[in-house]
Amino acid sequence: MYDVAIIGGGILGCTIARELSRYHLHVTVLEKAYDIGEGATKTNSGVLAAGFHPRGGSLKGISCVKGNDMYRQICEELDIPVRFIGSLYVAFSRNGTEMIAQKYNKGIKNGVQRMEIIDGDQARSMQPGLSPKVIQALYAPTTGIIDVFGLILRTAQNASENGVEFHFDTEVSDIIDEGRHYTVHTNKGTVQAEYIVNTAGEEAASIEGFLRPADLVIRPRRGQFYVFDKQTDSVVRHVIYQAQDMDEKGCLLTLSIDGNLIAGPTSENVSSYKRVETTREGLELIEQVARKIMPGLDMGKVIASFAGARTNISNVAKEEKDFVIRKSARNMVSALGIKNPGLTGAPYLALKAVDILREEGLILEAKAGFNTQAVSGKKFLDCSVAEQKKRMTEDRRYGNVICRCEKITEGDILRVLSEPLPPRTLNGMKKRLRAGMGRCQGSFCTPRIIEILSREMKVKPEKILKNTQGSSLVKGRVK
Amino acid sequence: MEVFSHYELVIVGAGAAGMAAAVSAGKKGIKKILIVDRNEHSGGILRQCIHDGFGLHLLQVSMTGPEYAEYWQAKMGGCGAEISLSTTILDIDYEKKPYRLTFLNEEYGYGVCEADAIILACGCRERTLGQMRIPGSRPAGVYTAGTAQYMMNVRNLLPGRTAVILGSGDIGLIMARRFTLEGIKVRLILGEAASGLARNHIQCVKDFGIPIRFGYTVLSIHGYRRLKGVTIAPLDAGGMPRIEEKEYIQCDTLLVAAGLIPETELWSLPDNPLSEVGGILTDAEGRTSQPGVFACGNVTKIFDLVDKVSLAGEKAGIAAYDYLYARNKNPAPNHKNDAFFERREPTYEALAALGENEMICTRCPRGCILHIAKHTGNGRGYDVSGEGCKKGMEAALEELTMPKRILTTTVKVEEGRSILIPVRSENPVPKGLLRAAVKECNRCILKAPVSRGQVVLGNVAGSGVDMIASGTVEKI
Repeated sequence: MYDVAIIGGGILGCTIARELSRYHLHVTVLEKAYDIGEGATKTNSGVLAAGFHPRGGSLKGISCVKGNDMYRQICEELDIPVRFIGSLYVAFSRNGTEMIAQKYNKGIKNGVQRMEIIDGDQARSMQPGLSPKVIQALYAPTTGIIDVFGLILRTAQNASENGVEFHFDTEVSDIIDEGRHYTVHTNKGTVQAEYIVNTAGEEAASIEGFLRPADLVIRPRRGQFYVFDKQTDSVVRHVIYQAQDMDEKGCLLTLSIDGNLIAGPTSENVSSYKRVETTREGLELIEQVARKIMPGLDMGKVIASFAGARTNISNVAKEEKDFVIRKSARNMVSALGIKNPGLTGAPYLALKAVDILREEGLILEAKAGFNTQAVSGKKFLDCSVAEQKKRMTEDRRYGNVICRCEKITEGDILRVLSEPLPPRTLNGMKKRLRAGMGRCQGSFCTPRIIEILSREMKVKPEKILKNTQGSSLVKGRVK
Repeated sequence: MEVFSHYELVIVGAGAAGMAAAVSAGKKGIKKILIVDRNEHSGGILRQCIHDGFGLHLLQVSMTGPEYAEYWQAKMGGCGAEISLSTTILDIDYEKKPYRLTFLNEEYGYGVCEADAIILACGCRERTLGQMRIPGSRPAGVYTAGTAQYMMNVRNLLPGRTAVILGSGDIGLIMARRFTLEGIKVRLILGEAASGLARNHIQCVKDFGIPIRFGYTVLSIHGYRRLKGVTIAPLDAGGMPRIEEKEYIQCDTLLVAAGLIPETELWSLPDNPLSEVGGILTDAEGRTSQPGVFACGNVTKIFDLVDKVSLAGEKAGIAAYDYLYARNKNPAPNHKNDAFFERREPTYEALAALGENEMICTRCPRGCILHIAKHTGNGRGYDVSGEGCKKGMEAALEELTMPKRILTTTVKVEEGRSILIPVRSENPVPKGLLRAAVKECNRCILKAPVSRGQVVLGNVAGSGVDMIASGTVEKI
């Protein structure tokens, strides 16, 4: 019997898990994928929003501002790369300047600090290469960029080290209220828990529907992105949004924490969360917006494109739409429609969810042994010389470079495999180490990583998956 | 950071270019040479190119990739160069004199060595689907040609069962044959423009009846987990896809053979001049803008034939010697081999232009156009004219009566440093027996050591021809 079962191991589920691991509680996370953060978290742009986009005073707005601030401490505790590089929300027209005024007011209401409205020339001096057609910009210095994979991994690992049990490949098919506790049915058997946290993202409405009539309709909304090769001369210095004119969709330009330029996302309704493909129209739109903001952008530097789906509540009017954190039933809290900026808001939303559990009677008794620090996991080439020497004496395989673009060694791969919540798939490895994310996109390292995973997991190569069930990378041996 | 050693010359990359550079630099008289490669073996990409056709121009023999690599390895063994394998150069400091190279390997860990001169022979990488900006999902089963080649020929991994090949250049064609011989069904080869050597079109595509279309591109990728299929469409005159004529083709593997990009990562000077094709800019001798730094092979531009890469490597080795020892550091360019670099073999165009009774002789790279007339009076059945040599005549008659091909494949090895050994037929095998011969090879298991030239399977598929090892596998 668990005290709390968390359904869904995305950023919010993992943040709640870590929060609950501070207390004397027996907590489990049930995740249907093979890894944490395989839903909307995976395809996040990595921007910590300042909070001037959401409606003033909304949960979305407040969680964004508070979460943004809370990340300063979280990133320190968990050793997550984060940089508050600031954002420019740029206007090309009168209509745009009006939108700047609106955003500024929203920001003030949400509590965004130190915003400034600047003219086009000031904006261009802050961001060389910015279109000469920009006439005004809203500068928000608290906008940041964060290592999303690192954040969710260290958050979940820290929760795991503090006693939370993670179960992967575990899909919830029903929840039965037994009166004193809940029985959660999954493809891996049943789980008993007194309290339920529903952070199932795309499945959150159907999970809630096991225990109450569904009122919210949540539909997937796809976002497509372009990724550019790392830039030697930092082309984009700030997160750049554009105040969109009529008939335009918003896209942003940002730097990833690793130095890649990212352009996107688009925003379009799709029929299923599996429709995470990019489209010609979507990619053309990104290119068009990106070129509008930075006319000199070299599209020849594109190394990849990807798409993800966020959860959008579709039966609530736009002006009333907000994140929903609510009591769904006795001893059960659900998070619904947590799309962008859900990653930014996660620390605050997690506290809100825990508050509801407390109101339901969950006893939060602080644990003396709670360890705030995550496992330290620098990759070999980022370590100090002394640390490198130490690791080399432990395992010579730190000297064997496997991913040449991102400089990942066999030692790094083995270390990650021995950490809590080790990767089970190629993408799991990619998320933890960036192996295969460089300019060759895994051309050289994929076969070698398949073999290392096969060797270390003691399974045949055809059992090694890209990410999910059925995504086998090879079909066996040639002979 | 401690400096491990000082060298007169450090060559980065022990592929075709680097090995040739080491040989010529050593022969000229440079004494302290280090050649570094990140792979466990020298030879670079040649080791996975088990097909033949290497050395035809330079050595007038058709070798397999591993044979060509071993030919140069043997020459390199005699030139006095020190070789450091499984070693990655992480950074080159061009500010320091001598230059400083930071490396990483299992033996020393992180270290630094110094060099008076450097030859960059880092080769290239492949253009990926991401760079082609093709929309769609991102399932498993999309591989670049070189990745699939490495999987199959070196690691014994089967990439898929039914494939579409995007790219009709030589690499795409060679992989189409390799897939077919190992039982992977190639549904279609498609390319934006007609390209590839005539001999590859004959021996890799026509021989096996593989469908091929030019003026096509992949419009979209389908599949959520593993690839399910691709949508293709013809291109209009402006290079835009004609979406109304799109077609869906089911496949579990998409092979991307869409070109190569020079791997210039270590050419990290502040304003590093790159050529229009994205390679390190050099003069004809391999000199870069940085004194004492040379570049050769695919890191400068993508070559069509390895023979030319070797020659470019030789030139860079000589230029490095001149820099270190000659009084005139920049001697006038040597035009001796210019013509060699200009050599072209007949391509698909020549094949497409053939008349009804014409064929291209593929016995040597000259590619004579032969005219065939049925003739029953001379006992041979045909009259052949237009041949440039006696061999051409024989080749034509053989092609008309009993076409034969050199078969290249791999055989499993136990207890060796590699799990597969590349093999070839000692002589051409009748075309109709190729698949049966591969099946026979697949039933064969060898025990290491196996050395090059050793007969691994006698009288393959009853052809009377022996399969011989075209590489060497040492015992563990």
